[in-house]
Amino acid sequence: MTDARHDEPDDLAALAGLYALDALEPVDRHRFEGYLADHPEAVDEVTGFREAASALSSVTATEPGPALRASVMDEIARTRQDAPIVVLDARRPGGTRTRWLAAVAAALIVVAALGGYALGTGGPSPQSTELADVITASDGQVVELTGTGGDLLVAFSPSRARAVVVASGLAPVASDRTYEIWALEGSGATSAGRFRPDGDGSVEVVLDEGDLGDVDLSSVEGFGVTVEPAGGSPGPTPPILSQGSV
Amino acid sequence: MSPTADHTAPVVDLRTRRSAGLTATLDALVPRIACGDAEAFERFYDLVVTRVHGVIRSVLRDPAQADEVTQEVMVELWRTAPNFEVGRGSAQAWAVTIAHRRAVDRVRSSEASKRRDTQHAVANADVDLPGPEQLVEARLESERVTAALAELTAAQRQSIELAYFRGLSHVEVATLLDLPLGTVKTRIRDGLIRLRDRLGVTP
Repeated sequence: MTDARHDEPDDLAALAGLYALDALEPVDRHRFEGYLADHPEAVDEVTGFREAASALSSVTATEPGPALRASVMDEIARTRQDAPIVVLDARRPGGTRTRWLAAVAAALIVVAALGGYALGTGGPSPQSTELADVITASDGQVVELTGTGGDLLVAFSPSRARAVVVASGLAPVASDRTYEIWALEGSGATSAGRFRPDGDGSVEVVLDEGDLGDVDLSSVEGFGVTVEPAGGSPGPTPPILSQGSV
Repeated sequence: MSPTADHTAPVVDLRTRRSAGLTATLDALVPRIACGDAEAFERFYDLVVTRVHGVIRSVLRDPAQADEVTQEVMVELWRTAPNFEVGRGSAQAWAVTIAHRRAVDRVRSSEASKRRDTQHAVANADVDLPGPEQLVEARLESERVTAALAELTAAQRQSIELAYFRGLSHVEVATLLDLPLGTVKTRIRDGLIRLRDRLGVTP
């Protein structure tokens, strides 16, 4: 290899095929990955080439050593999965987040207003009270769920045995379908309740023991949201539209 | 559809459909794996491990090392499933891409790469189809891919096979074939475009 063989820097777009085959030298690989970061059309091209290249694997399919399967299963039982990387969607700057903050702020105002006194009539909505109660509980936690389904906020408290889901801008679901939220823990997903957004895609719903069923809020590791048939499903139907970790 | 049409349905359609079924199954398993579903992972493992291992073995040659990297890759798939991007390629391509990348990383970082017998690589460059020791679980898909490869020019096929099955960089391919880098780059790109179109890949 000589320097004379190196490419001109303006030639990056033409490297998608080599990149997809892992045929770039490390320096070029890094340069190309930098290029991919701001060229979505190149990402699409790489994706297509990778699909084609990975089809080649059918030609060499080979069984590994017989002990490997047990060894892998043993190792994954001891391997914690990565938390999903939360990337807030730049195309919707702050919209949903602003609403969460508003909901949380309203809830905190309720707490402040309560100040130890009983609520009179005509007070704030029951949900806001619940949200305030959950958020301010000593073991209260808040989780952001993100994904293609939109952004949701789940506040929950094991001691109150309550969770509150707040979201806006959710897509409508057909009348025979429902959103279902799943508590993710260790090896599985347990239904934590179902909800339907109102006309403008907003949700503010309290999940109590009736909804939470077998969910143990003290050990829950995350939440995920799917769309299911109206009666709910025994397990989440892929894809999980939005999820987040505790 | 009439019974006659059923009888005369081209075989290639059945193959495509079967392969599409496998792809869809794998795609559906990943979100469950992402939730920590070990049973879903076991199914995923059984469906994809021969491809993952075959790619690694093809690049590394050494069976013991290939087993080691296969284990690393399968565990990496488990670990990173929560960040699998739905809509950015199939789960199968995800698994195989990581396998190929890890095998190439291993071979390029190891002393072995310096001792690799390049003459052997060239001698085997043109045809390296599965031998009797290799599984034919994916036989139909394999026939489809082999047919697609056969539609490339010999020059395109040789460059792609050296890069993919042997894990050579384009600089190594160029050196080996005594060609300018630009030529290798063009052959690989044109070959991949044709392969992608023949296989009906939808990114």
